Amino acid sequence: MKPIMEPKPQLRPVISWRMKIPWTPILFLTPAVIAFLLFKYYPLVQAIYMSFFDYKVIDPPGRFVGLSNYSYLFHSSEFWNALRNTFAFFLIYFILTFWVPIVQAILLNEIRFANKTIRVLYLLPTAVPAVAGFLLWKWLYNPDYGLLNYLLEFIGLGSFGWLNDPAMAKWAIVIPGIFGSGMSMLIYYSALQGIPSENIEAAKIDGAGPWKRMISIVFPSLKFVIGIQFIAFISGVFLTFDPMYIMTGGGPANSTRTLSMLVFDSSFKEFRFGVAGAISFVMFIIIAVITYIQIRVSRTD
Amino acid sequence: MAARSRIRERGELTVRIVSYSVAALFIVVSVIPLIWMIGSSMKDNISIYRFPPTWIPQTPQAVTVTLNYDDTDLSKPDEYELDAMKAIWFTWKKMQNDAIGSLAITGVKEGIVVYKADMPSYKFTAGRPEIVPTQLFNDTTIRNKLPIIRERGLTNFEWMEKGESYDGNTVLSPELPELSTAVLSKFTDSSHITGQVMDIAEKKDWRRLFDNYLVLAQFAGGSEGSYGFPHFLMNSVIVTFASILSHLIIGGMAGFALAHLVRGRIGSGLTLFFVATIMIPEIAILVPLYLTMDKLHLVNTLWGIILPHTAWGIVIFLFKGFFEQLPGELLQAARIDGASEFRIYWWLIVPMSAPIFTVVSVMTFIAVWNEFLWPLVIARSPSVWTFTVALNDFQNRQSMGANVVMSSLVIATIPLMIIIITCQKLIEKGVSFTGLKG
Repeated sequence: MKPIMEPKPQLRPVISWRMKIPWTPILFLTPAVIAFLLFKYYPLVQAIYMSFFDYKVIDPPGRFVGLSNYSYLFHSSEFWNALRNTFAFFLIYFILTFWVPIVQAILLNEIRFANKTIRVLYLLPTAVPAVAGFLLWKWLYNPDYGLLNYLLEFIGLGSFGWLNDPAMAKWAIVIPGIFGSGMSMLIYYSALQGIPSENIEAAKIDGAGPWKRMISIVFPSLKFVIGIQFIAFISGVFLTFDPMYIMTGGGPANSTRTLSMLVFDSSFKEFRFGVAGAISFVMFIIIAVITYIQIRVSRTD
Repeated sequence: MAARSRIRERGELTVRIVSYSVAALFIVVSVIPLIWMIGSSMKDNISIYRFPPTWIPQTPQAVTVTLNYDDTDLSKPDEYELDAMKAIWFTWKKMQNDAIGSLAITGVKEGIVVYKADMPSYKFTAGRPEIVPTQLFNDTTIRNKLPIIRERGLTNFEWMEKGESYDGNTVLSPELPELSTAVLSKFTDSSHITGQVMDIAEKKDWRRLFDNYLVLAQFAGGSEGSYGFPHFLMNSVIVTFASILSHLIIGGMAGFALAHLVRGRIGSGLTLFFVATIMIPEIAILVPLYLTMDKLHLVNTLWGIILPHTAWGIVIFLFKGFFEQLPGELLQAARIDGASEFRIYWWLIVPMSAPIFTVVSVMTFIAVWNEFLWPLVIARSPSVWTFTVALNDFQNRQSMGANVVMSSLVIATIPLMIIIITCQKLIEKGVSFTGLKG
């Protein structure tokens, strides 16, 4: 017994010592872990924590107010207006922009000649930095000197108020998005390249014409990508801030003030950080819920 | 195949026609604003606000005025310089509702050219708020402003020590073009200018089409410590490249560790820790992130803009995905040879993984170059503005016409345009990485 037992106590500590502290992975991962903790998780927790306080920057965290920031939100017409606007924007973006890259990609798939050139040209509007694009469109919309009203008058459609018209401002903000979809188009297009050519050949032999093939084979094969893109689309649209801030600043008559603008204004204009934290948390919950539903639905499909 | 493709299917032609025309429609409609942007960026301050708008900018007119100093008691160069400045700045200020490309004055005394002075329109635009803020003119104004004009090099003045003899017109031609007539009337109305107009001429100068671009650089060194557009572009370049570098180093190492060094429950837990942050919306953590930066004393620094970019879940996700595909045998072989993980990473993995590093660089470039909200929040003082924040500020500046704003947009577009055209393939690759797996 003894000779067998003896080496054990010696070996064990050595092995477990080596196993316990894997220095290399720790060194490789530490910078990233620190960065993510500091710039993602800590702020997220802080946002939720803040929402329970009448937060003071000078003397944090200020007075504990429980849920009154939330009850303030739910009783303020501003919040409901912003929530309504956010969902309205979501719908308008969906109607005007979501389908565009899908159609572009499916049709591009039929194009052989100059295919690459067209891909470059589709990407070209993406080269205009987003902020620059919004400023450009603001200038195009200008009711006095803008090109758009001039062109519309030229073809006899009359001029519009665009960004100055509360009924129209939302649509005017979304329209530039129609042309900025080059990247999503490429995502769909690269997905289409993965369709096995046998499927298409088989459909051909079955007598399906090109239009029929498009509907029965090409489009269904995109379903998965469309699902993923839709999740990204939801959160992207929900958080959109730049075009509203740059083109209208929330006006006219608060018709383009969304939740994200409300977060910005309540924190950096009104300095009500607690309220901003509460709105942030509500947004986070809404997005999480929508994404969860979407994932569930696409799984059952 | 060739024979078969000649036998057309039914509907093939319509598919083709529809495909091409839809593509053409989208492209034309999306390129029109870009052409309009470039055209507007070359317009002068007046025609930019004209309705109906024109597509092609007018070539600006360079006006040359010859002043006669016979029978005047000016003798010192300084006195002539003052007179030339009055002639240029006062006349131009009165004519700011006309489009002048440049204004040049030639001073002649007793048949000899004594000085030449000229100013292009971008320098007038840049100096106007400081030199001639009002329509009120007198001798003391220009005497006080002369040091500023000299210091900022707004107006060229060349004193002709050994003047050549003047051999141009000495009598005004009876039929002058429209702009020259207007300039002439301002000279004859003025009581401040000593010299008498002897000749006036105008000619088109295409170089002045690009003056709006030059105005952008001229804002630097202005009175209120303002910065020129190049300064903001430089900030953006620094922020973008620092972010790319941080992704390549921090993200690459973490991705490698997740792919090859950590396994089992800890590995998947860590992966989730990183990748789940993709779900955290930027706006939701905006305020606490700002307060964190405030605690670290990084508000109003470029570091404050850069550091949060070190934590992008998608980057680690991409690196991990790529490194996992690398053949494990190579790693094993290197380990058996006794190479440390650091050596393996730097000398084996990194050289093999050029595609993923370039893809991440390009994707980061596009995202960070475009970024607006975070710099807007964290960069409170103009010295650390990125160009996106500056552009947003430009649209509210009174002194900046829409034509100058348009030219700043054109300049801001160029870097991204170069990246997109040259890196088309990489972008497509990156997009299929992110789009299909994410």
